[in-house]
Order: sequence, then structure tokens, then C-alpha cells
Amino acid sequence: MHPRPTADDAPNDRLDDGRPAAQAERPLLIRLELIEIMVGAALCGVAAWFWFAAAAIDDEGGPGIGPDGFPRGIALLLGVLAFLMTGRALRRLALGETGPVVETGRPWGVLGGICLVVAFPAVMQQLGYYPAMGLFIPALLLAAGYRNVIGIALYAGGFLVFTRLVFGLILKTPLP
Amino acid sequence: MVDGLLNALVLFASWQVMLGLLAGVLIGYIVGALPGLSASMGMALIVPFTYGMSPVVSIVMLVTLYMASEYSGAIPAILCNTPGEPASAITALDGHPMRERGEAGHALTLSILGSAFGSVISTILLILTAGSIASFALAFGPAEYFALAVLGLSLISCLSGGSVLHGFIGLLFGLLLTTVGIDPVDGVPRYVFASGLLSGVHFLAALIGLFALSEVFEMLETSTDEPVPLKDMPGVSGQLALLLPHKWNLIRSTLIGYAIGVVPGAGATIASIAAYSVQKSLSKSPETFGKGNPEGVVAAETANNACIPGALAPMLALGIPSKASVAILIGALTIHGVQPGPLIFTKHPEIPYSIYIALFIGMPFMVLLGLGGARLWVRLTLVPKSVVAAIVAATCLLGTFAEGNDIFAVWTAVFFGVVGYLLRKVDIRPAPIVLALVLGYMMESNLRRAMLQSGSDLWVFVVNPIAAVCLTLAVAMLALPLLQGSRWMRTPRALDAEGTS
Repeated sequence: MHPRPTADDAPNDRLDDGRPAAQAERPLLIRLELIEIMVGAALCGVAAWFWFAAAAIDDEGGPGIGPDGFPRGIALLLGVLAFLMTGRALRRLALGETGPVVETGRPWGVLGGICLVVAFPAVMQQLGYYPAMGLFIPALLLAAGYRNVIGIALYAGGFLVFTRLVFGLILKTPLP
Repeated sequence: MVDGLLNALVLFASWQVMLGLLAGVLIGYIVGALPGLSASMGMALIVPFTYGMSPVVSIVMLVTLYMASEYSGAIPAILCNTPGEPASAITALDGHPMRERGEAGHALTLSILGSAFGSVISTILLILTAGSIASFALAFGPAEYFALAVLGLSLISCLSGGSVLHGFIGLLFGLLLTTVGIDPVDGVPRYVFASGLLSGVHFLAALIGLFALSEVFEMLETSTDEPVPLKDMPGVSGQLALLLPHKWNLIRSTLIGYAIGVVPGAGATIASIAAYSVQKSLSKSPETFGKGNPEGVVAAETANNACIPGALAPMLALGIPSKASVAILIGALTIHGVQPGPLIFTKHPEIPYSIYIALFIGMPFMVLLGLGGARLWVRLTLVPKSVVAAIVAATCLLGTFAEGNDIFAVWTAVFFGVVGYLLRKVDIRPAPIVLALVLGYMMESNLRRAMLQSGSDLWVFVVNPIAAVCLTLAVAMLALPLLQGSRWMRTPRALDAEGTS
């Protein structure tokens, strides 16, 4: 199903000076504490939303635990633990402790990939499955740093043929 | 019993039965290997084709499909960190790191041989204990199910890798997500801000997003790196020898898988988690679990395949479906006028004995397919990462949509892909979230039913022996990391640094 990597692949994955293409993009370095604070705050927000939105759940007040009881209990626990994570990260920052750094290689490639994946369902709804996937695979290959044009065409075409055979003809799955 | 087995064996001399068996193994192998296609979905798709077949051919085909798909779910889990079946998510924890070390062939070999061992021994257990052990499952009420779910969740300390605090945050996030949708007891909608959420968060889409799409985003970070060179793959005798050091692990995981399979609703995922956790706690190198320890692959795969015959015990003895796939088997038999339950052994003895023989005969075919296939699959690891990332992403999006022709499921997978990627950055791993998604519904619904039945008396969990034992074990599992030191409060990266130093 997958064409073997050809000799053309390697030179195309390298810069003009011979360095690997990965070195073209500098990795994004962020302190772990900063990400922990952001994620912790977001999770606190999620927990708070679940807690307050539970007020809108119909509870007829019978015996036992009501439909809002379990989610409220879990939201409270999540809020406390997320707050703990955030507080711990803030404390380390305040004390000036040298923490680990989170490295994200090829940040623009990753961002491009995320945007493509997020856009795919919307494009599929507008254009239909086959055109959307026909655009998605080459675009993601390019975002991933793959530059072999014949390979791109083969992978995209092969995947569409596979879809047509397995999902269209054998499983009879209706694709938009 | 011997007469029944011999009579059923005669049926296997017919080419139709053997063809059904081979077709079942082959279709199951493909269905399991494709993320988004579950065993139950594959079986549901095949059932209409079995109308014109005899009941024996039909059940043989469906049972072998079920068995093969549970095994082959490990293939994408190991190669692309994309579980083909939910239970394979546990296999991915160590199988995928092995693949990243260039040991994909070893991981695939261990998974097929472990699966075969678990399935064969578990089938023998099924033949010997079907009647008596199924009645054990009937002893489970809401209190026992709640306690079982809590015990399952307590295994988080084994799945969270480094920091238990981060593991628990993932677990609670997953539990909160299970409260979205129609309430399991009162039937009122909760947190339904989009019509697609009425039946809750789409499990398969969440699984694919958390494990596979987030992995794709990570792959993009290093997609221009050279592929990891492939290590030598042993010959067939060498492949079989790989299993020898794991004999006690195999036996333990088989027994765990079979026992959990018998309990309705528990399923292969819980069996895999339980066997994995037990193996980790008994291992001489528990710190290498989650980083490519072959023991983890063997435990998870053996248990999830041992679960299959276990799940058939309540079906054959009591007519109770222990999971969705078994419910489809019951439906297929009912179409042919066969009612599973206590009378099946007297009215239609050829059916249970055909199932036993199909599990035995189908296994060598599956092993051949698996061992031969492993040599082909490992070639995939030589494909550039950029290509793997694009094909995995496309397969995930297609599989998620095809599972229910539902665009909302695709949005769900995308959402969980992005969330899973961000959470990975702070070392909150997908496994605890998935564990909570599997057990959350079971935990809440049975907690509330138990409280209703007991008039809100918490003693119901203490006076009930099965529940009390499960809850005691759960408390012990949770207390263990606290006794080991302050793993709760340290970051996983700090723990890693300590381990390195």
C-alpha cells in the first residue's frame, strides 16, 4: 500500500547546505510551569462550568444521589487537584526555581497540522469526503515536511482508492 | 461432553464450516487492524450475510471474527499508537515505545503469541467451568459493580506513569466527561449543549482523538527525522522462544482475563488494565512499564484475548450478553431459531461445542496470519514519519466518521486530539482519561442504584463481601504510591530526571 521510500526522499528532506530539514525550524521552548498554569487554569474553568451548570439539571429530589450529585462531586475534586497543580507551578515560579523546559519541535509544522485536522470536518461537510480527503492528505504531508511530489500523489490517490474499495464497495458506508 | 465435542468435530469436516472459519479469521484480522472499526461493528456488518447459512457456519464465522479482531487491534496500537480496539490502548502503552526502539517485530510477535496462549487456555477453562462460573456472575448487583469500577479506577497509579497527581487529574477529567448525556438512572439530559451529545461523549471518537490524533501532532514535531532502523527479526522458532520468559505472566494474565470476561459489562479493556497492573506490581523493573517493557505487551494482549471465551460463558450458560459483541452473537443465533441459555446444551448441543472447536481451530490460522503478517507490518516502520502521520490522521478521521456516519463524532475526535496533545505537554497521559471513559458510566449508575436500593445506607458496600474485597483492594492500590513516597506531588519530568541521575 505504501510506496517504499525512494532515493529522492532523502535529498528533499534536507536543506541546501545538507543539514536535515528539521533544523530549519527552531524548536519552541516553554517552561513547564507556564504550561501547567495554563492547563491547570483551563481545567479549573472546566470544573467550575460543570459545577455551576449542574444547577440546570432536573432533580426531582428523591432518595439516593440525584443526577447532579455525581458530576458535582467529580467537578469539585478536579477543581481542587487542578488548583493544586497551578498553585505548585506558581510557587516554583515565585521562588525562582529552575524548572524543566518543554520542547516543541517544528512548531509551525505542528500548528499547520492542527489547523488542517480542525478544518477537515468543515471542508468535508462543504465539499464532500473525496475532495476533502484529496486536499487533506497532500496538505498534511507538506506540513509534515514531505516534499516528494510523486510520493504525495501516490499516497493520496492510494488512500482514496482504498477508501472507495473498502468503505464504498465492500462495507457500503455512505460517505458524503 | 466428549460425545458433544466429537459430534461437533464431525461438522468441521464440511467445507462450508471451514470456509466460514477462515473468512471469520480474515475479516476479523482486517476489521481489528482498522482504527474505527470495532469487533461488534464488524460482526454487525456480517450478520446479514449469515441469514442463508446454517446456524453452525454462522456462529463459527462470527466467533472467529470476534477472536481475530480482538487480537489484530494490537497491530495499529503498536505501530502507530492507534488502538484498533479499545482494549488495545493498554497494549499501546508499551508496544508503541518498543516500535520506536526498532522492536516492532518483537512487540507484534509477543502480542500474537500472548493472544493465542490466552485464547486457548481460556477456551479450556470455558469448557470446564462454563456452568458454574456463570452463576458467579449472577451474584453481581449494583454494589459489586460499583466496587469493581472503583477497583478498576484505582489502577490509575499503574497507568499514570510518573506523577499520580497528573494521573488523577486525567482520571477526573475523563469521569466528568462521562456525565455528559442522558443521566443513567433518572433519564434527564445533563450538559447537553449540542444534539450530538445526547447519547454522551462518543467513546470511540474520544479514544481515537486522545491516542491517535494527539500522537499524529507529536509525530509532526519530528516528522523530518530519519525512520528508526529496524532490528533483526527472529525466525519462527526464535519468535516462539520470545514467549518463554513470560510463562508466569501468561498464566496470570489468562486467569485474570477469563475471570473478568465472565463478569457482564466488565470487558476486555478492564481485563487488560488489571493484568497490566498486576504484572507491573510483580515485575522486577516496574519503572520501565510505559517505556517499552515487553511484559506489558504480553499481559495486556493475553488478558484481552482470554476475556473472549470468558465473555461467552454467561451467554452459553445463562443467555446473558456480557458485552456488545456477545449481544450480536445472541442476536445471530436467535435469527436461526437458537436461544442461548441453560437449554442450549440439550436442545442445540452442536452450537456450544462448535464454538469451542472454532476457538481452538481458528487460533492456529490466526497465529500463522499474525506471525506472517508481523514480517510485513514491520516494513511499515521504514516508511517516513511524515507519511505515517498523514496516513494515520486520514485513517482516524475516516474511521471515526464511518463508525456511525456521524460528522459530530469527527468533531469530537478532533477536539480530543487537540486536548490530548496539550495535556501530553504537561504529562497528563491519555490512558487515565480513557480508563475513566470506560468505567465512569458503570461507576455512577451502580453507585446511584446501590444507594437507592439501600436507602442511602453506605454500609451496603461493607456488608457485601465481593464489594468489600474490591473496595479494600482499591484503597490498597491508591495508598501504595503514598507509602512509596511523595510521587503524588512530584512532576513526571522531575521523576524521570531522578531516574536518569
